[in-house]
Amino acid sequence: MDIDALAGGGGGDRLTRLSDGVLGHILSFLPAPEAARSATLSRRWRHIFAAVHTLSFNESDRRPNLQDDDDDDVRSVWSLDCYDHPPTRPPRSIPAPPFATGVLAALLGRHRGAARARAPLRAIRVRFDIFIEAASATAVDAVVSYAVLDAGGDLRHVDLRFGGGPIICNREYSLRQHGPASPPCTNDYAVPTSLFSCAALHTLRLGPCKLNLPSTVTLPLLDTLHLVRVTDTGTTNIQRLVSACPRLADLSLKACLDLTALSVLGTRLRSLTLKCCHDLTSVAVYSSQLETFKYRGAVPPPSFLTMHNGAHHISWCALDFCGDEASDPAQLVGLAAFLQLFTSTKYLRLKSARLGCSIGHGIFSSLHGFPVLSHIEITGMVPDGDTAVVTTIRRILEWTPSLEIMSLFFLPELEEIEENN
Amino acid sequence: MAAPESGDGNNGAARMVTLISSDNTRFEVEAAAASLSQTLQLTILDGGGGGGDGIPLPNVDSATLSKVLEYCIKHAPAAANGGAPNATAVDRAELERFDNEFVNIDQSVLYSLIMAAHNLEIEGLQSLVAKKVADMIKGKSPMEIRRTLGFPDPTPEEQAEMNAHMLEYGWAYE
Repeated sequence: MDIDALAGGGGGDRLTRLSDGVLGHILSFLPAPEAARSATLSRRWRHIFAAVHTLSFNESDRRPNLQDDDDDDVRSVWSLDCYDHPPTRPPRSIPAPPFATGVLAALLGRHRGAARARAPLRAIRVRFDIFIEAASATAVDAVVSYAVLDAGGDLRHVDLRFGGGPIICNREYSLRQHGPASPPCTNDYAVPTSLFSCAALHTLRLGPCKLNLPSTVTLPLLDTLHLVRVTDTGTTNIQRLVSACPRLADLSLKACLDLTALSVLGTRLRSLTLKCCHDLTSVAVYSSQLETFKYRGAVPPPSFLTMHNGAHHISWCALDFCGDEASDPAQLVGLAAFLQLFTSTKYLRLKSARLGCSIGHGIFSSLHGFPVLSHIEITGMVPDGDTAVVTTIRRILEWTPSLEIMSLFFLPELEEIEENN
Repeated sequence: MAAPESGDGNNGAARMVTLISSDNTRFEVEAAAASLSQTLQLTILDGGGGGGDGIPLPNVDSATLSKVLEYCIKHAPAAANGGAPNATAVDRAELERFDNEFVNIDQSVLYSLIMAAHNLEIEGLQSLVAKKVADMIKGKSPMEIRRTLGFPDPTPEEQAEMNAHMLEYGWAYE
């Protein structure tokens, strides 16, 4: 234990007296190239990079002015050109080195130092804004394969994102007609299959990419699985992957267009997100612990979601219906059946073309309501002279005796947006 | 906020334990909060720290310990919930706000916390303070990092050595 270090002294000295493991932990929160660069700080720091447990590569750093998503972002690494100058130059003024150069140099950097400092990797994170497969696939393969080997069966967290920008598809909230669902951009890259045999894996975030699974998939400890725009080469691969994770607690599938049916056997599932998986027609959930449900897509058919052990734990629910406001009887029946699943929710977020006004329809008058709902948030458009919204709001107020907060967000009408463009 | 106890057979009111800092200040805290420390967890499970005994922590002074316990008390309910993937957005935002505020401190306090978190093996706190130092380093040139972290200015030899090293690491600066 670092008893001496508590005695004080200059800050830098105190920091430097910490063990390699603690310093490695600190560097694990930096992008890998920047962490590797700490070797130049002083003799003490020369081999610390070998003690990091997480490698992060962030291709989007090289274009710092492009949009950021809302996740924890890792700041600029590449734009530093000399020892004593902060990165004050305007971004983009120098060409960035190929992604692969940084990766290979960082991997080598881990083996440069003394062997005693080496700590096995626990996590890798790779983030691209734009993934140009030919140029970067080999480097990503290298990172993944290296990490699987280096971790020695103890790789816990893997986060590989091959595209930035809006995740969801561009189906619109339309008052007039369905736009053709334009295919979201996909990616033919498939990550090394060795990843799917990492028995210690807890978190896996992947996409957009192809899913290529080995014949046996075993992820006994995986609790978080997020797939974004993952295309399914075997059509049942996503299902196989989900089925290989008995401890799954958090499952998120966004724009996985090949998916038509999903069954989540794991009984620990607490959070389920299904966004823009437009061909998905049936989902079966066996967990009785599901607490959070998020959906975006067309109004589902009546038997879309089956909760085999009840839905009474769902307390947080977000439903986002794209396309026209539901109006034909089949859709309305589906919507009523869907809403009926979430009567135990405390928080409901509803988004639809016309501010949920289909709820004003007579078919919903038999719905039992939401006895414990305390927060509701509704987003949509309200065309001039539309009175259906009044009926809707009145019905919602009748349904929700415990309501504390109601928020309404009015979207501009699509027509106006088009004219402005 | 009394987290349900597990494993030690007690029921009813939350069990309390006493921790004694290096300068002999006694802190009474719920066992569930103190158990965030891997180091203390076993002792507490064995029934230590109760009554008049107290667990001595010769490596942690009272100022640091009270800060550490502030963290443990705040995070104990979520930890009891199994990492709380089900925590509401509000709960999470509140913890995040607390964390940000918590590390908004003097560097010397931060370093004491790093060492205490490390000695007591409090995983969440270890990451929180490490991330804070990483944020202080992020985007800075090596010389700026040295100044930020309070390293003494390099001697000419050290400077030469660092410059030589710079050449080797040129790829990271391109």
